[in-house]
Amino acid sequence: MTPPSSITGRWRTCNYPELLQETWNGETFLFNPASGDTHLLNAAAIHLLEFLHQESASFDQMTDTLFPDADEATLDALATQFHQLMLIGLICEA
Amino acid sequence: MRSLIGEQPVTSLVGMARGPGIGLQTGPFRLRLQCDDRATVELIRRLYSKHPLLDTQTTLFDFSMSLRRPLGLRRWWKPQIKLIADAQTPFEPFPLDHAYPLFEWGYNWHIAMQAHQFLMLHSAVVEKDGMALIMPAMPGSGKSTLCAALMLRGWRLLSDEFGLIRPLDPDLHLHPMPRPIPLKNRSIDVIREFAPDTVMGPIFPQTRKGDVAHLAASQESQTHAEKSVPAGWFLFPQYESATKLEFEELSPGWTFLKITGNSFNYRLQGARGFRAASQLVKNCPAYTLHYSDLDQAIPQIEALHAQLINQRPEQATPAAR
Repeated sequence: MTPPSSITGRWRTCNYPELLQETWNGETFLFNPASGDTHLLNAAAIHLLEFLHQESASFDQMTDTLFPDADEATLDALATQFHQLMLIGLICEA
Repeated sequence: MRSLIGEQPVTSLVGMARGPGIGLQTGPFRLRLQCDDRATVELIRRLYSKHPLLDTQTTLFDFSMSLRRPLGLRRWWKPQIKLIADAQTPFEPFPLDHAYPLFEWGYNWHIAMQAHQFLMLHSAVVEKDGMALIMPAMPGSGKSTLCAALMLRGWRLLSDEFGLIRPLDPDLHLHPMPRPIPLKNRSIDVIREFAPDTVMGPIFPQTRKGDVAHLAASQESQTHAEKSVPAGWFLFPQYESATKLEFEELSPGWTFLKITGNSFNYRLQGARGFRAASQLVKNCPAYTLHYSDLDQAIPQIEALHAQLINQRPEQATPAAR
């Protein structure tokens, strides 16, 4: 799978330790003090954030580790989700 | 000993309103009102009768509001009334005979714009047996009608419009502000049929929210306006004609979305708003209610309320703060 050009390179979380989180039934509400926004994230998005909080990585490294059996459609969905996490300021270039 | 609004002779209140103002306390808020419309002052005296009257010379007020008849042509031809709220004019002038609804909306505007010491939920709040029932809802949902009916069946009204919570309060108490309930359009007749002896203010026809009449908070609600109460549960009512009464439990995620979406200032509260809303969701079960008949709905609400009180880890007890 080739990620969109906007998500090539290495990535990290922007301010993960500062985020406030509550999880109910697999859905996580996350408050970002830097933006003042509250986001509703699914479990896959939280996995991505937790992984990138531990170490910076490329999109391919991350998906190979977290979702080694993912098919093309799943990877496309993850790429979209990854892009959205960038747009809302939770992931930055390392 | 404090003086009450309803104890003052009308002429005295009218004189205050035309001069230094009436000092009106409703729950945690102190309002100074200057007004040169006698009918509005008379109605305030009637609908806020058990609220404390404050000394305008010695009180530090939260809000200052004036209702003034404009000078010039509009004083006499199709006369108008203008709201000045802390030196701002948030609304266009209203017809003079809608001065009282303008007073109520002006008061709401003050609170929504300024009372950020509270997380403000757009909701009705009533209390029974020391536990609050919070009813957030959109306009047209039947929230005010249900709230009025519960009050007329003995529940204490905290507010028809604002669920006020101090976000750093670990117990998340709701703070009362028992002002009159504005009934709109068909709900005026619904409440008259539900409680024929109910005393309401006059009907103000064709306001921007339709026909409006105000139901005074019960005496008990007005006299206990300083007594906060712990949050108990959420009910999201929806009136639908000829529908079957139905409760449905809401998931915590939906509850979080609905209460934060219904808040006047959740975003402005930042992290403390997130923490308070999360804690409310953890502490308080939530249900939707579809109803068409008040006499059918109220016993079911009371039964669920009693059941939830019994299920609480610690028994809710009335607490004055």
